[in-house]
Amino acid sequence: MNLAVFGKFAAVSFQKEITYRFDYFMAVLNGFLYIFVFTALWRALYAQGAGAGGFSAAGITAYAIMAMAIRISFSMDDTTIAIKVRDGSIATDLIRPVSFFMMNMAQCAGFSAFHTLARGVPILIFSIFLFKVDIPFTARGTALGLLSLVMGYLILFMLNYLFGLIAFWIIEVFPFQLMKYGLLNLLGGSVIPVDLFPASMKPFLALLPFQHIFYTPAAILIGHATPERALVMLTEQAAWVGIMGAASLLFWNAAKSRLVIQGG
Amino acid sequence: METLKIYATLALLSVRARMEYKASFLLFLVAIFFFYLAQLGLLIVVLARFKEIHGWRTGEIAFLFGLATFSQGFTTLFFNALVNFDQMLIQGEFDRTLVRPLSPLGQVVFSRFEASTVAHFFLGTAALYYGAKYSGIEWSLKKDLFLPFVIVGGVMIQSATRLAVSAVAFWTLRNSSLVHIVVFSSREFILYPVSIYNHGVQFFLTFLFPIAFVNFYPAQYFLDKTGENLFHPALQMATPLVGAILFALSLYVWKRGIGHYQSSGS
Amino acid sequence: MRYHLGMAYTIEAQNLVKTFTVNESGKGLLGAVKALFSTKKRIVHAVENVSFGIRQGEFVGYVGENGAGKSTTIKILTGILVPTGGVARVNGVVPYENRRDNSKNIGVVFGQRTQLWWDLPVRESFEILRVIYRVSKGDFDAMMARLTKGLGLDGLMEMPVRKLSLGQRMRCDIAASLVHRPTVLFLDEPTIGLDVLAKENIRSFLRELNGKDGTTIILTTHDMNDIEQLCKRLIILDKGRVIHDGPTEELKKRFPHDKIIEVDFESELASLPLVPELEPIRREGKKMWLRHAHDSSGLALAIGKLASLYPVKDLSVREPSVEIIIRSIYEKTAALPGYAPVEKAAK
Repeated sequence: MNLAVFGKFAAVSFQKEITYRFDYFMAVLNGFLYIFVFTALWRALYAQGAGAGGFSAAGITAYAIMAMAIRISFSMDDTTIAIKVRDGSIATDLIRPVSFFMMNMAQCAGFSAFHTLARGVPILIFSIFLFKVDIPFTARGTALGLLSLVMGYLILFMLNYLFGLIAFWIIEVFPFQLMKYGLLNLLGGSVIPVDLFPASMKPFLALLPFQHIFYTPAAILIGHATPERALVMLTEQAAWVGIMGAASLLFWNAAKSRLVIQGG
Repeated sequence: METLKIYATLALLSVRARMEYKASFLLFLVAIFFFYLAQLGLLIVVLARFKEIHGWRTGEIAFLFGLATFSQGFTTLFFNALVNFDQMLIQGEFDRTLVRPLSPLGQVVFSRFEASTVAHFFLGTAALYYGAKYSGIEWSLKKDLFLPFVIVGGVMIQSATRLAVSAVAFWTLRNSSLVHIVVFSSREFILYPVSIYNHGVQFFLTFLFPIAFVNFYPAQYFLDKTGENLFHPALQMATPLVGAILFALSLYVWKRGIGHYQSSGS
Repeated sequence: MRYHLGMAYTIEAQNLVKTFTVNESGKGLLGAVKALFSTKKRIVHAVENVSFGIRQGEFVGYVGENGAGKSTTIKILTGILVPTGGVARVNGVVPYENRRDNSKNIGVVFGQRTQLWWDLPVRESFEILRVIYRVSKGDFDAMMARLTKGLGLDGLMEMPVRKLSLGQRMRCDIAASLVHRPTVLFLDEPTIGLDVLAKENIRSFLRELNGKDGTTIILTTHDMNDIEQLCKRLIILDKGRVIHDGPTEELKKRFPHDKIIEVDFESELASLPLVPELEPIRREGKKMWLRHAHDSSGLALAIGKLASLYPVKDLSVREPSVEIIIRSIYEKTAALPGYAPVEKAAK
């Protein structure tokens, strides 16, 4: 898929999101609510015992805000594939001369671009002033952080894509989505940084891609991860991008052949 | 009486329609269970690390979780249909309820009974039981009698907020994000003791969007948590009253909403 | 207007007005961003001063193009919407003030949306409706026997609604609207998307319902065959106003000398008009419909002229159909040029 086509798909879904003013303001409010909840929670907890997980009280607040801003920016519509399979419009996607994977990614990118610009960034900036957060800025840290952000986005996109493809086998995908949200909330790092998990759970977490979605970029962007640690995390993240990419390809081929067998 | 029978028939049939897809229903049950278990997992991780949250120990936090989840179970059982109410409105399904000799709200509610909420009851009961046991509640006759009122009050508060925000769709047509806030995000607030928030948020959760009455204030009473009174100690007993007032208010908003829809809709 | 104050009508519309406001979003990305913070409101007049009276037992076609205000009127008469101005009465009840009383007397079918319970067998939907409308078991069984026979529902009753074909579903939907024996039936596009046979089934049932039971029926449709075969009276709506109200037969007499000439050309023609006496009113590819609006003496001459000037493959002369007549009425009120654009005509 060339860049112009990708851009076109992205622009369309960007514009679709912008149409609903009321929804937009509610979604901004929703973002702030979460930030209020978690900054208050961490303030209370770190008043009891500072230093847990290597965070200072100020550091965990910065983390909570950054992780939530990333989660908001990574908003995606993860229902499109299931809806297309159900109403049969998937057929028109299949005869288009563009890759199904890339087309979905373009649509998600447009959607997320809107939520990044219209919600994620304003909420981040506003919260930094509101909570007087100090995020150390280094060119190297920011560059690595942005790279990590892109990879985190790819991992989340492919996770949603894989769960979306379940629709080729089971019409009702919502239960699976619900389980995915549960795992993402618990393990993704948007609420609790991985550092605070019991040490015994960490090997188990390393077997799953979730922590590389929100935790890794947030930890690098706020300077929580040392430069050496950041490089290790980025390498792991890159490996997960590869694994998820391969899984997407395999799963898509299986899904496609399933559609052919069913006869549309 | 006749009307009750009609609603019972509607509810029964909606459950039967749901059971047409047994596998999907079971999957749903598992998924809801899994989701709340993951949410509980977050609390467990936090408590494993910090032992308590603002003076509330594990058993007490479990009691909070139990009250919230249990009343949410009842709320979802009845008002699940309201989650997608804006779609009912946009696609014209709601118009149908207006041409039948029955309350539109009754038709909406009882045509989409959600039986999979047994997952909430199971989790809620377990958390309440565990919470009560490990926080060492000293039960008294007064507390025994008050508990059902607290549950009903909590259900009414949650139902009222859902009903009111669903009614917003009569004015705005699309309101899914507002419903999302009230149904899902608001739950985050009351998973933790409301005393952790600053005064502004406490005021908001007590007087403007009073979901603190679902679990926090009554839990203070049951757990005899003195020493962190917010605003006034009488609030600990106010849940049933708040529930009744809010529910009446939300019915009024709903009625006004239908009136607006009928005079402005296309 | 065929409406006289003080007469006994089953359905009355008195100077009905319905306006509503819509938010306009801007064009393009920039316009959309602007619309996040400010909106332009536009007032739409869906129905402007509509009056009519319908007597018990009439079968009335209520037609107009999309957006003409048909559905809005139906929604007012069924109690879904409150009019901005004017009064409506059905059986003497003001529908939007006494919604429940009105709903017991009327049946409503929205062709686009089913009122049946999607996941349940058809029988269950009827049972629910029996309970909702408080129909006694005896009355229900008698009515179901009639509906099953009249609409051919045998074998459908145990099927889940989601597995019915469109035609089967529509038959069940019509039956569902009649469970409580309403005296007035509103049908909003009941034949949309159905094949010829299914349409014929439904029409013969409706004819019987109207003839035998004396049920008053208002039918909105885009299918002019529905109108010609069923509706003795026709109300035509355009841009929220009634532009014609009278017997369907009378409509044909409105242009007694008109003839429609259907011509197949050898190739698609670019230039119009062809012959001054023949007014083009519709075109589909190489096919064209022309109206001869003078008395018949000049007809042969005009056809001869046409055939000598253009490559005519086939040609036939007809009486104007109701559809053609309605089309020409629309166009006169809309003051459009002599023929409808191709896309519009292709419908």
